[in-house]
Amino acid sequence: MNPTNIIELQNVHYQIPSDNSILDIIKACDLRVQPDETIAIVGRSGSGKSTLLSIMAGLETSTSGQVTLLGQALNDCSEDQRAQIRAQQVGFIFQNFQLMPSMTALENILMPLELFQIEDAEQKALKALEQVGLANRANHRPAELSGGEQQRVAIARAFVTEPKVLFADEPTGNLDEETAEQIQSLLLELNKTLSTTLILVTHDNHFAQRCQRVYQLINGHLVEKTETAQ
Amino acid sequence: MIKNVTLEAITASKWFYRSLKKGDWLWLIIAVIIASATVTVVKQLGETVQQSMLRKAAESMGADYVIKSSRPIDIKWQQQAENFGLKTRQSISIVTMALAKDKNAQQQFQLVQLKGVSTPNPLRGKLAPNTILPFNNLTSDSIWVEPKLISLMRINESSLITLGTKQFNLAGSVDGPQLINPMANFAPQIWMDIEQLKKIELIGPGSRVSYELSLAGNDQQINRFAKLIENNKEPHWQLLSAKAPSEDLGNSLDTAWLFLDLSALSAVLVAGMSILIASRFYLTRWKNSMALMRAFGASNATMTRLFAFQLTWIAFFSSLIGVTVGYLLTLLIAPYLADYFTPLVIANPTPAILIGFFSGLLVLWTFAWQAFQTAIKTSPIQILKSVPVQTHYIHWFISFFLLLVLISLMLDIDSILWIVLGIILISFALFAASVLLLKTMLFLQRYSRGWFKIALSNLTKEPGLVQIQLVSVGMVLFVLMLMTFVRQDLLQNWQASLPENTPNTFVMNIQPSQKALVDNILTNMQYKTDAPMVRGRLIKVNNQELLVEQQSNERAKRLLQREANIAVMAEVPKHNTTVAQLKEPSTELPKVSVEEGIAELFNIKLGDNLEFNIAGQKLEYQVNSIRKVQWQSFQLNFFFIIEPTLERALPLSYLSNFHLPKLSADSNNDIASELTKQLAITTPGVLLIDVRKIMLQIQDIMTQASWAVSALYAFTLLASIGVLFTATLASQQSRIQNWLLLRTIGAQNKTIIKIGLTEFVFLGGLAGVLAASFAQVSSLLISQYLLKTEPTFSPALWLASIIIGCCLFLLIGLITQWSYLQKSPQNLKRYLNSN
Repeated sequence: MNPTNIIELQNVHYQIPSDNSILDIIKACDLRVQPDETIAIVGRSGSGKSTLLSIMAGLETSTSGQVTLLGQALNDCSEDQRAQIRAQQVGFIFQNFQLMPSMTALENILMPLELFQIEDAEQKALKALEQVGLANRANHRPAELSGGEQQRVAIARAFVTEPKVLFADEPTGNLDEETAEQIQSLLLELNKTLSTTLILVTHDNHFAQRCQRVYQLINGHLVEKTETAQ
Repeated sequence: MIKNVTLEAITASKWFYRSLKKGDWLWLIIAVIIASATVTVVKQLGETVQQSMLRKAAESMGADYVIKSSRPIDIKWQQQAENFGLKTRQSISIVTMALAKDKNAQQQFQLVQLKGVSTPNPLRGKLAPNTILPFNNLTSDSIWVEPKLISLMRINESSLITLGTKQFNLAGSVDGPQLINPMANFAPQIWMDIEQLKKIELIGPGSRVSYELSLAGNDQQINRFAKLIENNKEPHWQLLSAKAPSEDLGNSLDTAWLFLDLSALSAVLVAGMSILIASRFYLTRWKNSMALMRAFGASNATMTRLFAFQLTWIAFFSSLIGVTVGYLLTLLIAPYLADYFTPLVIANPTPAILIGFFSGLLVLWTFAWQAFQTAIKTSPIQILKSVPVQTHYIHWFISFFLLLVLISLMLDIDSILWIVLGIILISFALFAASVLLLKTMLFLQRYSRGWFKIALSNLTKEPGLVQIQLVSVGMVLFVLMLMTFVRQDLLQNWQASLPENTPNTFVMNIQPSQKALVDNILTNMQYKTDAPMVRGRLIKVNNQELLVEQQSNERAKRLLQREANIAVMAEVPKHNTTVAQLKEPSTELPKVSVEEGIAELFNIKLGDNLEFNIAGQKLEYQVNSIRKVQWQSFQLNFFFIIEPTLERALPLSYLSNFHLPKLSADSNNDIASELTKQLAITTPGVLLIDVRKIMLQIQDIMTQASWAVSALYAFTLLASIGVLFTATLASQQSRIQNWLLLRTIGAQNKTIIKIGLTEFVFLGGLAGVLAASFAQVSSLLISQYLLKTEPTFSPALWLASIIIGCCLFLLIGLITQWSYLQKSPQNLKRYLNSN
């Protein structure tokens, strides 16, 4: 294991039982991610991209193989230990934004800060909103925001805890082309300015090409498509 | 750690406050408010009603608690009572002859009950001076007399009454406190100072004297003293409590108290069902947020604390509102109660408020526990894909334990086991039935078409939810039907026990030679019945002598010491129910019919030979039947009815009863005084006992209890309707999603309304079937084992339950869903987005 790697996958397998057989979703995956890198994982629907992302983030455990996140072997951690790693250094962005409908934009960003009793929560949340260009929408609820704006709030929420690594599952999947472009730029810009490692799953080849490395999941195998994008 | 927990508590409070401002948790809050308000109202009203009724009973007795004894009561008990803070009053009663002399030296003798009292006023209730004589306070030379003595002894204010060795002046006429058992002391009363009674040489070694120590105070003091007395009870003591002025009345009221407690419990369970459904609704709504927090790294412990704090806040906040609402409601109801209860004793609200508050806290935790556990255990992966939820049996045990605590808050420990068992059994049975109904729906869905198929598939989409809805609604309908049934039965029983023409006046001690004269005086009396009787004592059962000292039961001892009225009749009266009858007599002995309670007391069986001492003659009879007697009915009732035979010459006298119209406001001109006067002149020795006042009191108590039962029933009904509303909420989101889909693919308004309302009607009908099945089984069991009546199968009950279920749900569906049914797809989408 290389201590400088943010994420390291070694011979990772993931299987699920199906009727009378076992389905291999992920097969012998190996991956090493350096700090500040941007990685895109592409593949067909149902190829296991989101599963791989959740294994890397410690939301799910692999059937076999070694997963190391920020120097911690996830397979040896309990659920609470994995939660602790996520709490301190991981952020998430989802395709369907996952904002709490009854909370305002500001309150949604405040949520993780308050969850872990981070000081000056409100100032930090307001600053994050400003960074994503939604300072004037702080008191609007998700239903009052456009799809792009909702994803910006979700991005602000993900970055506000200053995570070392950010996982994004189809972050532009629900957005039109123009808005998707803006969100992609925002994500990559924040990755640069905040030195956050970005690992994303996407269908959008254009977005994937803007990342430093692109991997494709084919029949459960992770295959690197290109070395450098930008 | 402590700092962390404090910070989490602050965060949870912030989140709670935020959600509260936005109307989140609304249905949970409403359900908890309903539960704690109901418990507060029921407990406070129940306690007020009980205390008012107790006060009324106490006023009838003149005290809260009375120790009666045939021997002087040790002064230490009076001192002890006073140390407990109780008010005390001593009295001594003796039956003696009084001699009245008027100005013209005319003399008149009368058997009276002389009562020496340590204080003139009773401890409870007021002395009721009568205007026939000028009223003055008691002195060492004066007495008060009961009004009927004035006509019986033909006395006036200047008359002198000789009692024992002393002559007394008349200080006035007073209506005594009315005893629940009027037959126990039929001699008219005279009151005097207790010290005077001791001086007039009436109390001798062989006198039949009754000593009484009356006590009054608050409930706690009385209970404490009663406990002490019961632990140190002397064999010659008889203890009377205002809580059980008479056995029959006590039984009826016990049923009423149980009903009140059960209605409170029903209301809480009903609110619990609402919480169960509402918490599921919030769980579905919050699932993603929970998963999100887990994904962000919230640990199990953090999640537990954050949500436990929030739930506790909801419970605390809602319970506080609930008890306030409940208490305000009791304040609003109090003026109306005053119309029904005189005197109205408003109970101390603190216990009701505390029980209401803790019930609110507990009901939320009991019924939200499962959802709470599922919520905090939401897997973080839920954020990306749905994963099945695992339920752990331990959580059911925790819910069950909380339910036990909740029920123990509301009911006596004795009843808990049966009630909890009942609830568990019914819940299981309801659950099994709901699974069966669900399978039927799936079967129907396979063979149906068009909009009906869509309606069914919408219902069966979330089987777990449908099961919870069916069980909850079924339980609510079942509780309501059972309460309707029990309430109806309770009220009917009470009405039947004292019908309109119940005899309310008795004429005793009519000698055979006076019978025709008395009949003549009573010619116009309504519903008159007579019974020939003798006075006698049971001395042997199957040749075995019954000795007082062998009896452990006080009642048995008393019955053996005194002569009882024994009816002499060929047939058992119609108002008695024969519970056992000897098929063929085994001896030539004449027959005797024995009252059920007495038979049980002395272990008397059919065919036993009983020997009585009747005016010195020892006569044997064979037990031919055992009868059930309603002592409270005021009919002519006897422990024993012996068969008249020509060979046995018995010293017969007659007992009559009849119905007199309502007591007139001016008691001096009342028909009873007129009859007393006529009987005293024409047939000396014949006694008239008017029990109209007592009957009015009993009827009052029954009316009050009926009122309380009906009021609480109505309250539970309202709470139940609240639950039914919540039941529709749980599936709101998924229902609206379906409608949006139907609208999107071009379904017309008419079709969507048809599908929407069919879901409600179907759910209501199914819940109705469940409720009817269980209500039917329960009612059959109650008929068979509790009321001992013929069990009946009632198709009307089924029909009513199904129709009520359908209509209620249709109504609720129309009220809650109508606006959504009319909404455009765009508005429906907006609704879904914002929720």
